[in-house]
Amino acid sequence: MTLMTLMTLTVAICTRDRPEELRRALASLRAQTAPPDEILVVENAPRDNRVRELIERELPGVRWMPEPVPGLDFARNCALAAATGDVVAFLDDDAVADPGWAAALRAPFADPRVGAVTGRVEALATDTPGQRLVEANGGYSRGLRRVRLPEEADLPLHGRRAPLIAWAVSVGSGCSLAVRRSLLLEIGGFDEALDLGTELPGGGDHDALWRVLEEGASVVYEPAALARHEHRQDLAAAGRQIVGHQRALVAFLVKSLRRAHGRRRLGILFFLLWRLAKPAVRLARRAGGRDPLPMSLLLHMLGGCWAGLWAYPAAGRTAARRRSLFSWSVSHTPS
Amino acid sequence: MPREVRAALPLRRISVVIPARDEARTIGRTLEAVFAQEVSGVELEVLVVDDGSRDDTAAVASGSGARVLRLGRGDRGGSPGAARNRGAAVASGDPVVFLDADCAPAPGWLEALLAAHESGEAVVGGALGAPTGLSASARCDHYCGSYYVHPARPAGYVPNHTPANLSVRRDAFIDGGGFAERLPLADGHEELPWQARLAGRGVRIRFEPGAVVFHHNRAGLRHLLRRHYRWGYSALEGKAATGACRWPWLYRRPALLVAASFPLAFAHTVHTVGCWLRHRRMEPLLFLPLILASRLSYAAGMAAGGLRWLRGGAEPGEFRR
Repeated sequence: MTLMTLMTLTVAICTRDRPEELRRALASLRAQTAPPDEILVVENAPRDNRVRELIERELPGVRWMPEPVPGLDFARNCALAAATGDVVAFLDDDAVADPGWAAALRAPFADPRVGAVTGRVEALATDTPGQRLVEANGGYSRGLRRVRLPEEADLPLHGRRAPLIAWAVSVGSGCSLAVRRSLLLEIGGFDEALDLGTELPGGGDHDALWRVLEEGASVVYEPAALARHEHRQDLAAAGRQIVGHQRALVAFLVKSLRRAHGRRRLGILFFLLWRLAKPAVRLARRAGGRDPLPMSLLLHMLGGCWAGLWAYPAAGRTAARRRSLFSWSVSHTPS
Repeated sequence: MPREVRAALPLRRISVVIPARDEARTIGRTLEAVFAQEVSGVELEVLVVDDGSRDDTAAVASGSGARVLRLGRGDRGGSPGAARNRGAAVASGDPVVFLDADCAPAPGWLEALLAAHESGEAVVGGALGAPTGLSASARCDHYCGSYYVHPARPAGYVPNHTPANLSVRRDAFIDGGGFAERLPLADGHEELPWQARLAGRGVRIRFEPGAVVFHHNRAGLRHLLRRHYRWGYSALEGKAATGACRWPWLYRRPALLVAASFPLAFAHTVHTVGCWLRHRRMEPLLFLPLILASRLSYAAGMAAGGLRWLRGGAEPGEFRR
């Protein structure tokens, strides 16, 4: 327990165009039983002063910084580089942390072998059709059982044995995720080609967890760290988000497959094939009335998954172009 | 973010990016016209990117209330494409409006651009009009250069649009990858690569003739011929590699175009004058010899630049995705 007090914690929120939700998230951080050592807001490609003014006006002590290059993982890497804490916990701007969230996410890092900790994410509300759709699709929650990877990867996942990467995908959500800063910087931070917005919306969180595992560190799913996420309210937007995540997930698996070796590679391949087939299986189940998602969405999901097979190289080029477009503005102070 | 959501976001701060090289003569008038635009609820950020001017462009611009950025010598400066990219990277508004230093907006210009964005367009191009009192050679330059983008043209979707008067939602611009910075492409067809990439993703360019800027073309025959030679020089590289042009099939055999450049100059002249006649503008008929001369200059540039490009390992379609 002495080690734990030595680990300092930065909570980082990457945000864009959502000052009202951000205000709510920051209020929940203010109400933590064990307050973080630093609260950092990284505003991604800001197009007005609303967030900056909100923080200056109402939230002294919160650090604000802009990341001009649009893309969630550009913002996450900016937070990693700027954070002063040993542990950086990421909370979505549209989520709310329970009072014990920060303490519970920080605690497992007392063990030096732990590289990342994910928290439990429940729905903030299920009032609209969009939010109910996300929950019907399984939501973000991963249950009440604490899991430590890779040590407990032999346990059955959803009732059957699963490769490690399936576990990594299952426990991970960037909505509520803490990483050991030094380790993540060492392995190159988040992959900026993932989480590009419409082009490839998601995957950066799974990818970071997977690379932490590949590095030999442990990942802990800590159900005591509870955050509530406000899902998309609009039904169409929620559907697009679900499909986009599936596509990004496949893109991430293709990327990982290329990098992996030996038995791990086989596990990734099996999991990838399963993800490609899964929408078809769900379509069959839907025909039997045993899947909650509408047929059209499952069809889109099927297409999205297969499109994900080719998405990663193109996303890499997009990310490189975005970076080079802004390479100059970082070092430059306008006169 | 889904496109419809992006389009529905309130427009609050607008960035106007003006690349300028030795434009002290015109930049003051342009900035005055920009700041005179009246749109309620909108904050204007005007960025002038000084690309190595040898006159006092920077002083005039900052005196007129613009923020001035300088392309350093060591920076990959020296091209309007690079200047626009730097401006867009520093810009904090959305959309980013690209405007040339010699183009003074007419009243209602910004409002027309923003109205098109509000209706969901990601890329909106405005028209280039001729101001009154231009000399004959400058008017001829207008007829040779603006036959697709003058205010009498109908509104609609176009395959490309000049960055002299072009407004882009910031995310779309960044996803396109920005202007070409490498010469000669950066000095004539620098917009084509990103416009082609966006076209590949189904983002179209809306031509909005109500958003008018008055293009103060420079006078002088030598300038006219040089300008069109320069445009011709990067035409094949820009159009064949991107396909972001009218009649893209014409550019599938670039070598053929180089070989046929001389007779094509005559066809080009007929087409140019015809474009104006369709809109009942008769004056270009008077300028026929001058227009032919500028088309010949364009053809010479196209042959020279096209040959250079083809020898250097041309890659048709390299910007298509």
